[in-house]
Amino acid sequence: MKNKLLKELTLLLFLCFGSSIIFAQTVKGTVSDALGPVPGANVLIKGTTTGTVTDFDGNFEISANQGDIIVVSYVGYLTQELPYTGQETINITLQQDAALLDEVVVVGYGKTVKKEDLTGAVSVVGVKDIEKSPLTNVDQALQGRASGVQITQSSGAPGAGFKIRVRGSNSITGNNSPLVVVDGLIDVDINSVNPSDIASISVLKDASSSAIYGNRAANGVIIITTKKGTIGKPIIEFGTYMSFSGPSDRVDLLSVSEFIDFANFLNVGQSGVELAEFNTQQKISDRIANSVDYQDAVFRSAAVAQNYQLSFRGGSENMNYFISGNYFDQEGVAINTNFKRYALRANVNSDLTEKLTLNTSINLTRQVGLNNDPGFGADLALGAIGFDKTTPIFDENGNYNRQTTVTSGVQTSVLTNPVFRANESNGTSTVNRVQANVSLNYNLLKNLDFNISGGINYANIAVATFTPPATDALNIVANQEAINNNNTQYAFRLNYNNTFNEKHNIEASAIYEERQSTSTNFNANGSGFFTGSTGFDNLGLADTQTIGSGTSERNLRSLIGRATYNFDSRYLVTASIRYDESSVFLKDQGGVFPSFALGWNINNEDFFESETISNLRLRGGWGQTGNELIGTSDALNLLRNNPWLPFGGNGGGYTAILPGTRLANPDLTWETTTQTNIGLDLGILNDRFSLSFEYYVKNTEDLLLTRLVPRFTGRVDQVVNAGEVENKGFDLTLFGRIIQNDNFNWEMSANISSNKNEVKSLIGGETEIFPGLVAGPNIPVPTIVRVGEPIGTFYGFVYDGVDQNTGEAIYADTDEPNNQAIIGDANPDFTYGINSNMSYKGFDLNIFIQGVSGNDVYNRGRALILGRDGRIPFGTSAELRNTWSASNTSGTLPSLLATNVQNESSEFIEDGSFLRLKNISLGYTLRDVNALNTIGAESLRLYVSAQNLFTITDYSGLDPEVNNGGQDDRLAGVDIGALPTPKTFTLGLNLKF
Amino acid sequence: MKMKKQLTKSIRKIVYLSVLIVSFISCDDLPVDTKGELAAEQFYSSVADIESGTLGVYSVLLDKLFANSENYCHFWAADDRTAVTGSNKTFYLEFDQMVPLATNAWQTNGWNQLWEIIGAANTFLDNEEQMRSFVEGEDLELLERSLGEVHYLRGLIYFELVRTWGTVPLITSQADITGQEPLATFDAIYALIIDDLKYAKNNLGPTSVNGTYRANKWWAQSLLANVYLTSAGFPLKKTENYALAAAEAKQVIDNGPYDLEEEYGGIMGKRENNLSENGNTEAIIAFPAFVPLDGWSAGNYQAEAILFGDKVVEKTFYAEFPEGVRKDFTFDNVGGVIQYSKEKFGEQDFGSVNKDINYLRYPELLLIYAEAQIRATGNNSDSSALTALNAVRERADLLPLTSATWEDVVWEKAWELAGEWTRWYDIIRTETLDEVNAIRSSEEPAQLSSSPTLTESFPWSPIPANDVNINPNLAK
Repeated sequence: MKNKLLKELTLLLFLCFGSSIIFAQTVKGTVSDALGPVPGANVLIKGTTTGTVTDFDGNFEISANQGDIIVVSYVGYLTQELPYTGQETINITLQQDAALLDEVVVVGYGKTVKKEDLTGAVSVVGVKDIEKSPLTNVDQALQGRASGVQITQSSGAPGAGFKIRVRGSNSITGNNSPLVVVDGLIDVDINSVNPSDIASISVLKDASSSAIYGNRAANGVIIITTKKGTIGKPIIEFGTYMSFSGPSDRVDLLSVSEFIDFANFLNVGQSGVELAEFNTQQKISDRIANSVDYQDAVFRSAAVAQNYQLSFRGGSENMNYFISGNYFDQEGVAINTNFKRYALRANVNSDLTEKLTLNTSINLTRQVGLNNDPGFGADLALGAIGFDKTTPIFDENGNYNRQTTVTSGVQTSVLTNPVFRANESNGTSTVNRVQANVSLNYNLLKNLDFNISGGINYANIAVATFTPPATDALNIVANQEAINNNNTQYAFRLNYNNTFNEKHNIEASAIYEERQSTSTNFNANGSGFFTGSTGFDNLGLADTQTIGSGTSERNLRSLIGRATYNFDSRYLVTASIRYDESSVFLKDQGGVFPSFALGWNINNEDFFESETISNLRLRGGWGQTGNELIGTSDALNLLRNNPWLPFGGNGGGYTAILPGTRLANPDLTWETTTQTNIGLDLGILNDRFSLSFEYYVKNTEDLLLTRLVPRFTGRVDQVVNAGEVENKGFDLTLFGRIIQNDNFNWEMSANISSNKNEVKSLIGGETEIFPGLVAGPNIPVPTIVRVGEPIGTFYGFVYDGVDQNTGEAIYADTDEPNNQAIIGDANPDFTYGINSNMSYKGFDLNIFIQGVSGNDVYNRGRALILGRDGRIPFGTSAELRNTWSASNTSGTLPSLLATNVQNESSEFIEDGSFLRLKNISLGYTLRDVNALNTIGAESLRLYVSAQNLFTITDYSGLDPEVNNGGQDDRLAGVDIGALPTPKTFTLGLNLKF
Repeated sequence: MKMKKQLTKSIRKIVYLSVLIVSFISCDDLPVDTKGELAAEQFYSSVADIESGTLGVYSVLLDKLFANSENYCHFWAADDRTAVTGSNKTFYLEFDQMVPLATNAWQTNGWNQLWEIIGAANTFLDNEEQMRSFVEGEDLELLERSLGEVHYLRGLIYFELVRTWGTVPLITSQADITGQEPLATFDAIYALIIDDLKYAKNNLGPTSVNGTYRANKWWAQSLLANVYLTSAGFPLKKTENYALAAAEAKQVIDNGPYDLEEEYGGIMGKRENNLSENGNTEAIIAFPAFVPLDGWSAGNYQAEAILFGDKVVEKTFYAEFPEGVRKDFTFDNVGGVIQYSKEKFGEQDFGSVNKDINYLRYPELLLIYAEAQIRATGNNSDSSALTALNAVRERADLLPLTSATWEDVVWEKAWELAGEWTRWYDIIRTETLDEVNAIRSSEEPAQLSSSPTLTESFPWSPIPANDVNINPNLAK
């Protein structure tokens, strides 16, 4: 329709300017790029108003005279000029504009810079990088694609979060998660963003970039920008995919008869008799006949996920809009686990007057999870490999066998039947979010803008769990919790931008900002129900009921100044300063966070002449950032009540009040991170190949550390500023368009990052802390925080094989007390990602590989299934075949009857390095205009993909990536049996109208 | 002209804007989050707060501390208790064998809880001025009484601390506490205890108010007598305090409402003998072991400790124990094994314990008086001392003495209070550890260490490793 109109216009022009083009000829042609036809490209006769636009198929017709110059232009491509020499057809291939390809980088507080003007260390992930693989979470978009950003999936549970670390961990006991900013809204849960809505992600890694976010920026800042509408015809996009997932790996277990043999052997050794359940051939064969493969029973072979995405965008000169809706429904790989997301986003921008612009962004999401708590998933995963497989799922009456039926041993397994656990537990979490941001920009004077913005980020979280009785009905536990988080923020910004003498470009901003976060929670628990039939819906029926509630409030107030000076795109200077006040501190609420950076675009110098080198830039920056993430009342002297019945009820009706467990610290103040960054960017052959290298050193001082205090103070612990942690390392990013011709194109990018973490000092003269941490159900983890070593160091006994004569374990002697030593480091030497995009005609192939190298994992799950723990007294692991026994003295595992085995030993420290094919996808974009016209679409893409298809690793557990330590970096690399990352096959379709 | 007009317009815009911004910006300190919290600075501002704060000091004491024998492993160092070997008894065994470790987890629990009470007491006393600012009349009386109780409790706990661990930090205010405080001298610690108990004695009336188990004048005065007696012995050896001990004890004996029960069956071990049942004339200081507090802890005090084999009598102690009704009352012969008796310490009723824990009984006060009087006068035939001593002996069907040394009195105390609260402290105070250990039977399952760390000249529990590690000033 539009095209027809254009053609008519062209005709009209032809008539108007008839005299001048009377001898003109009609030229036909096609405009294409590396990937195929380019619809909507402008074709113009230079110096005239004669022009047209290419159709869906990249075709155009235009009248031209010999000698005319035909100009073809399209956003993002180099404009081409062709002298017309009288030919009938012209085919034009557009080249992507290297400068524009480096799309502008969002650096926060309304500012974007061209990549060539960037002075800090910023990783950018664009829509192109992520649209090729079906993403369920935003963190997946960053994993392996942004250098210097380490993303660890903590569980394969559906909807489970990730641990994100930008250039290592700064804080020992504090929060190390980066600050996430979405369309100007500060401190947003990264997983509240629908990945399909993302236009670009910037990760501000160095302090000169992130210091503008001051108090919360020490862990890096992730800025997400969502899509906007553009001028032109409305575009309707519809995307859907369906995927099928299964566990990426299975653990090798003993066969049933082997299991029985080992169990009997152990029991004979411990008590002289075989297990009563396994002491006749008849019983054994019955057991074998009724045995269950619990891995098969717990894991789905094809868990189905569906995703539907519909978006509308468009705009006119004064207004543009982007509206999108999403529904995502994912089954977990474990039975009866599920995650659903509903999302609606509306971004509307309009010019109210010539000087007044209004931008609004609203995001509504609802997430509903069923039994998707990672801890619950870990229980199921452990049950799948550790639960006694000779116990059938159901007894002869059709009721669940809740516990093992093998109870005659010296110890009885405490594991619960995982099928029963999965099917009868009901743990739901529902999160409803409203995120809205409005900003009003007024062009006050020439070069001077004034901006007011305000935002709200509200989350209502409801968690309800019902835990069925492991033995009898009195043990039923159910609870409900409601949490309301409300963050509000507003800011005023003055922005000045001017260019003098064409070469001096100055930009300056002054910002005032306030933010308030409030959180309230209410919980109710019931235990001891006479029936399980009411689930968690009637807690009043419980014998014992407890309720609790709480609230917290955090206020931040900030003044920010920023200036950049750019001389002739050769010399770049950026400086910023931020003053923050936080309500969590008593005396010393304020903190000042300065930064500056310099850049030199050597390739823009007159003396620099190179055919090959298209870009050469040196950058350097320094800055300070802060961290204030402690509890809102950690500095205070608080009291607590003792739930105690005074004198058998005779206390005059008063509650006992006494000091709380935390010692006040009125002097508490910011944790400060100082970072220096040096960067080099190199582009070759019009940036066909490019390289970016960063080296950094960052030191975090006055750590917000929770320390134990001597108990004679009457208190247990105190939050203090003490100690220092250093992170240093490098990030390297490589990019190349390896092959580019009419039909075949191949682009590759790769990044590698290395970070070295070291604790420089602790409180006072302390040299080490044994945090005594536990994971999961109270399983001790051998960690140490020691000066000179990284956070995440394992410390335990040094396993040195089996004594061939006795079958006892051998532990090496060390110089340290208790004969222990440092036995591992959970921090990788390197993390890397390789992304390859190939296209041939309508086909495109994406291969994305991600890996880590040189990290250790404490495989405690392995100890469990070897039967080294009372939880599973009779081991199930196939590895037990290598157990030392009188008849197998070359066995590599200590005897089942060994008395000296240690679980916190290097026997269970394994190399966690892995290389994983994160994504491989093959797509086909339909180009046949007739076919497209038939379905009424403008474009259509079909794809198949697979995620986590294979993993190369020496790690013996289910998944080297998982960790049960959650966000605590002292517990990195701890595997007590978590749900593995699923292996997924996906079928998808994208349609554009 | 036009230029100027535009400029004015711009200035006006900027002025409006500035007003707008300034109306939003404030320069006061940001308010700290205290919502939903009990902030110490805002508490202690009503009569109800005074009551709650006082109960808070009691709560740790009554809730957990003395109700669980695990919290005073040091008593196993004495000769009236011995531990069996094996299983989870090593924490008692360490003391029984005279080699306690600084990492002894149970003993550390006791230390932690005692200091929680000190913290609670100090926090209350830190706010005295504020509380005084709003009370008058009856409320003032309440405050005075509460201050008396809190001083009494602080004195009581420091007395426990100094007798068990020796020198400890002397914390008298929670303000500006850092955790790096040094050890105080015995002198300073005893001075505080005496001050606290004198304060309590003067501020408290003769009857407990608002609860049977709350301190009164007699509690403070009886305890003060014991403090004077103890401070006159090792390590402080302020012998002039014997006379003070005798004087305080005498006042309670003469004016207090206490008397010996006629029969041993009336003193403890049964719910009907509890203070709360008005079932006892000789319990002066007692704590309720009441189930709703905490089943396990309350249940682990006495009978259960016996049942679990945690608390057994030493063979020599039993052999030397004078025959008679008191011996029969104190011990049971269970299939040839001598245990503490159900009659004295109660039926094992784990989960439904309702028996008082007796901390100071009237016979102890009589014996404190007798010893102090003999020592103060140097007269082994002091008639008032002998009256007190013989009252105790008479009930045990023992012949009255016409002359007694202080050693006789101390042994009488050992028999009378066997398995109770006092023996270990008497051994320390009288410097008789070597003597006691010398007669320990070689047939005990657990033998004394050949290189003991707990000795007559250093009988103190090691300060828990957790605290010493963080504060090296505590190393001894």
